[in-house]
Amino acid sequence: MTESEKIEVLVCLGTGCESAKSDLLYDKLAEQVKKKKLGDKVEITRIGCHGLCQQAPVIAIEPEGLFYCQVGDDDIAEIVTSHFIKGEPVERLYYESPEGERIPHYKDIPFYSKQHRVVLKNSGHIDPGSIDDYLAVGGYKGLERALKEMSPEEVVDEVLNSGLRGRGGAGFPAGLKWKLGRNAPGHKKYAICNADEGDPGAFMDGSILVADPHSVLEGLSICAYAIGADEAYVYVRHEYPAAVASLKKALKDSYEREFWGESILGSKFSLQIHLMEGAGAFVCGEETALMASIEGRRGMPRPRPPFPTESGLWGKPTVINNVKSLANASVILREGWEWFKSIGTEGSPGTAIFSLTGKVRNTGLVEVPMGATLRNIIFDVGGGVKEDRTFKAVQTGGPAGGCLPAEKLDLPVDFDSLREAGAIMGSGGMIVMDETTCMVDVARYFLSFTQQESCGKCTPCRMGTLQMLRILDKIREGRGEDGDIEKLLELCDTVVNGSLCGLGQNAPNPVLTTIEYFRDEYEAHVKDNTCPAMVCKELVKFVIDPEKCTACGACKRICPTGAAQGKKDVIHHIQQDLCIKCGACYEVCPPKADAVMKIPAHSELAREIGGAK
Amino acid sequence: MATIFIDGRKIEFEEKGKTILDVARESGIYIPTLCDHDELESHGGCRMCIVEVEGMRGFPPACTTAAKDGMEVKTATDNLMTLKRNIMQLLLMEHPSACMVCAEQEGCNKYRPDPYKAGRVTGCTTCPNRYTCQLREVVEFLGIKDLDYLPGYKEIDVEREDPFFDRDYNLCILCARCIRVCDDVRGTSAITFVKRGHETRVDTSFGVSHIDSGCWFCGACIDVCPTGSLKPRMTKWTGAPDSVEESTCVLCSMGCQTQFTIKWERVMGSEPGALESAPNHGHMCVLGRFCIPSLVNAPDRIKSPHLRKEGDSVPVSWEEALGEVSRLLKEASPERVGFLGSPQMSSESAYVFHKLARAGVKSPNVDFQGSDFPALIHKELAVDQDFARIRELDYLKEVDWIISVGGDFVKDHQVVAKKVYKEVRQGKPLIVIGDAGANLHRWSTVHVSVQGKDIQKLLINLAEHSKKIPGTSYTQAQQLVEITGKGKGAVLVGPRILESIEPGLSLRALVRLAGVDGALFPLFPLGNEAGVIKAGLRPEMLPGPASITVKEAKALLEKAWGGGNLSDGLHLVEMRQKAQKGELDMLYIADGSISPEGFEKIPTIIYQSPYPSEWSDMASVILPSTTFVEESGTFINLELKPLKMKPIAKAPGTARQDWQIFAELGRLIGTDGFDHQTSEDIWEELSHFTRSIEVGGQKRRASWKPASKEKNDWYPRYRGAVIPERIEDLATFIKALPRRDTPLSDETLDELVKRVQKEHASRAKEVVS
Ligand SMILES: Cc1cc2nc3c(=O)[nH]c(=O)nc-3n(C[C@H](O)[C@H](O)[C@H](O)COP(=O)(O)O)c2cc1C
Ligand code: SF4
Ligand code: SF4
Ligand code: SF4
Ligand code: SF4
Ligand code: FES
Repeated sequence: MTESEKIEVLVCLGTGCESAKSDLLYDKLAEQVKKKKLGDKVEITRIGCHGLCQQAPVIAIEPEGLFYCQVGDDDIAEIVTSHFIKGEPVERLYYESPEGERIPHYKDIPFYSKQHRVVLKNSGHIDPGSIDDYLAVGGYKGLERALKEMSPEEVVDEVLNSGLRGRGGAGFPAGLKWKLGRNAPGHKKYAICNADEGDPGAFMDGSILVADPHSVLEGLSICAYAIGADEAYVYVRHEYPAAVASLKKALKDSYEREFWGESILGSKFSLQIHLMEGAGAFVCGEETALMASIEGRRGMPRPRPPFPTESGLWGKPTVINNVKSLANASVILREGWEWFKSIGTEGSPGTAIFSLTGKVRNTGLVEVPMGATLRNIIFDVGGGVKEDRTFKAVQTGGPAGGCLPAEKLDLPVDFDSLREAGAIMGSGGMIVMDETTCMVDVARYFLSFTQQESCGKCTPCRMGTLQMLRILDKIREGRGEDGDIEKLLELCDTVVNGSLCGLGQNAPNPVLTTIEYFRDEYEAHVKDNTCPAMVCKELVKFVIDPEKCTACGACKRICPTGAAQGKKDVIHHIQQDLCIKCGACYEVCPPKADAVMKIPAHSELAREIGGAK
Repeated sequence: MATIFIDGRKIEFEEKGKTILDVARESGIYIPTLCDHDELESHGGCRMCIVEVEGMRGFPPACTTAAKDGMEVKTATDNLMTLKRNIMQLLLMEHPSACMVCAEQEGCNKYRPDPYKAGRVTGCTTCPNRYTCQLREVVEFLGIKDLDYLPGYKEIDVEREDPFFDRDYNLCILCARCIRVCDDVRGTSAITFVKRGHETRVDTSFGVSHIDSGCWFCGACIDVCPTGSLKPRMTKWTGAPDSVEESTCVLCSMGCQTQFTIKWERVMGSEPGALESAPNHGHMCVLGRFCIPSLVNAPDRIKSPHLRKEGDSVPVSWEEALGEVSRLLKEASPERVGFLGSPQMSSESAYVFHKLARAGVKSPNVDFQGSDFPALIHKELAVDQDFARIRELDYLKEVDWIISVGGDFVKDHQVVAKKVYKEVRQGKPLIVIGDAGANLHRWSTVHVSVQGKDIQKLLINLAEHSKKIPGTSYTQAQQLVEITGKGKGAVLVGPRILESIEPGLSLRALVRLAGVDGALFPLFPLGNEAGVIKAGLRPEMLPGPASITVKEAKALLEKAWGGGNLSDGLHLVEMRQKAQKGELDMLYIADGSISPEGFEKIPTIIYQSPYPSEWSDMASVILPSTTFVEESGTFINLELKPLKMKPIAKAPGTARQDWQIFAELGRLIGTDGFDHQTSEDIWEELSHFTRSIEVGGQKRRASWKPASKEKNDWYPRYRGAVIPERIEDLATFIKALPRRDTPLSDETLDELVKRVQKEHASRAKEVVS
């Protein structure tokens, strides 16, 4: 049997799959393969995130490119006997399209076929623990080319020409940053890879580090060479143990192969790389706070200028780039800037990576060319809104990003267009919301995160977000007054303009965009005391329609406070002063009765039904 | 010269490292600030100083933005003022702000009523900072008259558990000045921000007490705080002082320029003088900052002269007491009388005391406690060029490295430590030989814990650039040689250098090591050692100081004093030995801090001090003298700079200045030359005598002993008053020092967190069981 005929089984151990216990699948597979003595026919490899987390845990079979979804513990035996021994793939585990069609190859699944994978190309296809796997797909060719064929200035120019913009949020041209770093006076310089990724719900950087760590390290070495740094740091979240482990292994392997250390690849260039685990505050992702943290101080931002390229770590010129920016840099050096520039838009070349979550059918890691529309991402790749509900809004850019409404679905996704619409690229979170979402509630949710994560250094951010939160609570609870929305807008202005760092400057975005695009919802809360999405507890009531109640008693049994009352064969009702609006009765009432209703608390109907005790 | 336009005004300035705020201030343009402080690096947190700069995005803070040529800056556009007002409103949400918007403000400012304590919530008269609130200044500038938001106070308990000062973080505006001064200026890092979001507050790491966090109670944090959050307990509620006077603290040899707040003719509080004011430049230590009022206002101060009559010491008039003393002195046989002065008296007083002994009584037996160390310094540096190495502390800036020998200067010279840390922070190597507490462990580049006798060999070899250095590892030795081999050094030398077998050789080695352009800072532990040595209060010395063996000096003095006993006499240890043998008839002692052990057999003791001590019970005559805040005179600090002590408070009872008592006695005895009217007269007379010392020859007389009762080599006293025995907070602090100063383990943060968690868990278990 030759090597090429070997069945390669790729078990995904990305975040989504791992939490679906894919590690057990791996063990079980290994055990079965061993038991059935298939060792030289089947090779099992752990991979980083394959992308389609919705279907976790997933297994890919190469070289055919078959794809098993939602693999259970008890499916393993069948896969081994039927597929590996008899050569008959288990068709019932193939991906099922919304139309009910089974699709065997992942490349035919729209989620994948509609993407354009540059940075995520290797993710889910190579063994991240094997440097040879990375080398086999052209890894470290970019670094080699830089060191052997190019001067540092030429490397800077290459990145400059590529038009690459920083993927950490602000979209600052990476080449320009490198140029500033290169030209900064001084012998001692640092390069830093920002792998803090503190946004809740974002896991792109972590996934890349787990699935393809060398691509990032390669980019970091290239960056250091270009700017003339002899020391570099990778600042990674402590809460990403898998990423830390993966980085450690990759650092060890790449050091042994002389991709960093003394005289890299026989050149005159030497580089020390340190791994630094961050304590996990969101604000530590901000570049100046991150550097303070490396220096052993509390992670608090400081005003810029001076920018890090002028005075960064320990006061020395420093270039700090995001994980994805660096991974892109390796590709650019390998494939050339012209190639890179041909992808994406004029202003934002290359691809955009999102972690697509929320009420969307296919959640997962998504990479599309810049300029793809929100519709492309949410509907073509993401498969549309779950349970065929209506799309209401999409939040991009993490907790400090903005919410865009359906009218903006055809907005091309790139740094400038998003910014213009009030949202941001941020670190690449994308959360889809449907009609059951209340926009006031959503704004409050995101703001409460930034409020808690404010480092406390400057007043507008520390106190302004708190005051905004108080007003939002007031509105949610039906205590809103005329002028509250204006007050909110004024506070937004104070916080945006008065805050020191990007956290405060962007924290009001969710509020600003929801007011801009969904002002009527705010006004409904304030003026009519209603929550149109029926989410805000204080503004809804649960009542039982006496016409429909079958007196089954389900609501009475589940109600935690005894508000749902009734007797056998007697129509039930809800005693409003006891109801805490947990909605358990609403969920539990059998569909055929469908007697519990959620209605606006201050409506005519509420007075009619709910009012009568 | 570069040009900048601020609010349309054209201003020329030097571009070097200046911020917009610097330039604005220099030209008298006011930009409100809260987190900025002259001594601290800019922070950019309060946002009060934001400005608009043509061509720059957003609103950069003036305090962090470098002023550049051609910049156009606006400081007070409508936009900016609204933004600032809105930010201030947010700040006032938490800050008790009744006093900012109070209708009675005008009258209140004018008449400054004494506090009547209202509830904490209203925050009006509960704030001890009312008269100098920097927050209110900015509020007034912004024209805020009413609050926009419902207040939501923090409701944090006031922290009162630690010594000396209370912390009421309800008033804190999180400007981080305290944190920055403690970290960046004092090098202690006792406090930090904890928590996040609106719960952010100032605290110690892990919430331990200040004592355990490594705080030195230097008070620097209090002095930079713009609000009333931090206040010394003692002076918190004394209200506005009648006056503020600047004078010198004498509790160590730094001689800090101190602002004393005076009310009812008493010292109510002490704060460091202005930032510009040398030598301490706005900083002090725990003694000067917190202990002076309790010390000088002590109720047990001696208030009138006492004579022992039929075994009891009874108050008498000055006339009677001095008459008796002059009679005793006249009748005594000079060789059998001892004179012990104090290193905490003024130089003038020491001089008149010396003159009284040698010229009046004709006794050469003069000394003071701790005189060995200043004498050693003078003798070993007798050559002018060597002596010139004692310089001003600011010279630390000029040297390439610093070495400390003979004591942990962080403990006994906190202000010197502050100056050293400034250099260390900029990367200047610090070598520590001997004692080192937590700060020195952190600051030192190399620390060799060699003690006592071995120091000598170490220093001599080091001066020879030999790598054979006792008590060091190979790499340490290499480092030592490398550091000291380059450029010029500064030597901080403490009295434990006397533990060397030949202290002179150790000191000379240090002088050679520092180089011709190097510096030497003798860290006298007690106070005015340098001044009292200038008065020559040693048996083998004369004023100047001069050696009795130097003929010209002797002749000059003979002429000035019209004779006197200018030969060698008994020093302190010899006086004690003679006393034990019954060969000393009389002792005139002006320092209650000397142990009376061995002196019990002396028939006649004259005790002169502001404070009672064990000597009071032995004395035939007690003469009350003043403390340093009640007398005029000169204090010579460790830089050998003369500093003035001023009578700024009223002495209790009829206490007199030391020199006045000595001069009166001189007149009563009938000796010429005691008609001094002012301390300035005396200073002038003393200034005629110049340094004229014979080189070397200091013998080891007694072993150098730590002054402590509790194995602590820092146990501050003042003329018989044991300060920690009088001030409980100081005792608590000193007691904690050995525990804190045990070297930090090399436990990593992770391990530490684990250990602390474990301890908490086991404590929780104990509570449960
Ligand atoms: C509150 C806050 C959090 C941030 N977190 C991250 C982060 O987790 N990862 C990241 O790469 N950049 C983060 N940034 C952006 C960085 O400050 C910085 O712009 C980025 O690392 C630069 O890299 P790039 O040019 O490659 O984008 C954050 C910024 C702010 C204001
Ligand atoms: S904006 Fe917020 S996170 Fe940023 S420095 Fe200010 S308080 Fe800290
Ligand atoms: S008293 Fe001094 S050492 Fe203590 S916290 Fe304040 S500044 Fe730091
Ligand atoms: S205690 Fe004072 S100095 Fe410290 S942060 Fe608060 S207001 Fe500022
Ligand atoms: S350092 Fe010395 S002079 Fe200064 S306050 Fe302290 S004791 Fe007084
Ligand atoms: S003084 Fe500039 S931000 Fe506080």
